[in-house]
Amino acid sequence: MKQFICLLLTSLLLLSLASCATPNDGSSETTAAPTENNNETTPSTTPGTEEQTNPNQPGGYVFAFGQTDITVGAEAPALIAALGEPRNKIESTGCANFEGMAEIVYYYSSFQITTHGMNGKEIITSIYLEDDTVNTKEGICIGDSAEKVLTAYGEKDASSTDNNYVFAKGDMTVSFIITDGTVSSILYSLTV
Amino acid sequence: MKRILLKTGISVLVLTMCLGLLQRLLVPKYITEAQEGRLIEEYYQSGMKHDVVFIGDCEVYENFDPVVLWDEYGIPSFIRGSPQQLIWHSYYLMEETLKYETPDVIVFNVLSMKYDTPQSEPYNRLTVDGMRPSMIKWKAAWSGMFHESTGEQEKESFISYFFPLLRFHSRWSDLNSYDFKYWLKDTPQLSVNGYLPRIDVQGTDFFPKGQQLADYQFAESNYEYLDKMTQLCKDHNVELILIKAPSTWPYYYPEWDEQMVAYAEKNDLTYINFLDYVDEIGIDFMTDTYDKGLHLNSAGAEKLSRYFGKILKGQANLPDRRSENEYVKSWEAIKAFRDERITAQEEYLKSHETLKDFYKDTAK
Repeated sequence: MKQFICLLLTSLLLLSLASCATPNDGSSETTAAPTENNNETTPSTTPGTEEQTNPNQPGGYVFAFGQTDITVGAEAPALIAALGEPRNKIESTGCANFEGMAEIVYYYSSFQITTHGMNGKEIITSIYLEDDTVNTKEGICIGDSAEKVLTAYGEKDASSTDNNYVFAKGDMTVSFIITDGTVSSILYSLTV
Repeated sequence: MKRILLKTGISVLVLTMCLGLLQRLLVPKYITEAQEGRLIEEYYQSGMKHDVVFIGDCEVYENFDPVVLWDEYGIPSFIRGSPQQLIWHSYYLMEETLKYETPDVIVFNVLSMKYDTPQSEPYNRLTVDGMRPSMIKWKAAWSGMFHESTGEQEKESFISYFFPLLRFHSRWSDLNSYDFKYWLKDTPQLSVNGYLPRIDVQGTDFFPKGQQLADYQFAESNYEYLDKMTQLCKDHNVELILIKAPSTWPYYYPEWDEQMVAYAEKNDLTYINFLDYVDEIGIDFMTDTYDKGLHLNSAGAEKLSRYFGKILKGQANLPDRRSENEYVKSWEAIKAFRDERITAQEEYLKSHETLKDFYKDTAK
């Protein structure tokens, strides 16, 4: 009986120390956590706990500005450096003082880039086009017709609504808000 | 037979104690990181005699100073705030608060209406883990398990809210000196009745607009929780005041404000969007914020609290308790603690640019 109890105790203690596949197992005082989700359309998962998306994953929609191709899921620093100084920037570490988990929004002349800390890296999680001086690589800009969007991108994703056309590729989407038959907003988002 | 039962009972007891001790060791103490994880539990040491209780996210615990409400209006208050507190958690915190006391007013910051799905398990834990074990705590934990708007289950372990050891067992390789120091004793006081003052200044003259949304309507599930809050306060004869704190980010859409105005009108509630009164309050985003407008610093919090205190006095007819002995001594101590914090921050800023790591560097 004594031996059985000792064995049971030891087993339970060892079991409690063993690693299991919990979703947010981490190594710090807490696990990595995102900042406040300031954008309704940014990824729904928890940055800092998921695998980083391959920025060169074939098939992902790309936004090009000048000579610079920008993709969601890519590491931000080099791309931000290539784009030059933003006209403004908001950095939010979120409510809690989690290390390295800032959300940063870079404001350029006609688009915004949002990044999140993920696994110790700054990753682009969304790109928002603000006006018609920039367009997607598929040739769509703000003010274009809804029909032109469908011609350029094909079949909408199931998550689309009457006024929000979503097209998914790989680990990202590009979405177009349609107002009175024309594009009023363009957003690239990371979905993992 | 009796001997076997006794031995078994003792063994189980010993096992339970061992696991309990292990759990206490491995659960984060939130000393050097995410110190805000200690906020929720600090309420239980507060004496629970408050005329006003604030509930919500960092827009309450960074923006309102209970000492100002006390000093200038004799209003005893507490802020039951936590990082990115979601509305379902806010409801259960409200329910729990009303088990301990019945304030005259509960103030709820409505920014969390924008989140209809759980955002982050670590953030959820900062709210729920700090609650005392109770049926309300389990309901709060359970409420975060489902994406109510999609019907999908969140990848959280409900059982780990009963037994945090299941969640934090892997921390054994990351234990630090504070885990052992506070293994068997309470962590040091962090907040000023739930308020976390910051005296540093990082101003802004940039007020970004939000990105266009496909749908501005708050989720039905969130309205259900707001309805529950409204009813709960009615049932307890507590005045519920809805607010939106004055912050430059996250962007608070006019379409959201309209919904809250409509809700308040329909339910005969007071709703104050402090963004509309920034000038009247005297907030200057070049001097009254420590992070470019996301949160007020102590100067901004003082102004906002002074402004809101006047409203509270006028609206809720709250008594001035500054001459009531049972409050005076405790509020002297609370004020002394706040002043000590501010002095420590002033000292810290002599050798640091910001207070970003103040709590980490001054951890005891």
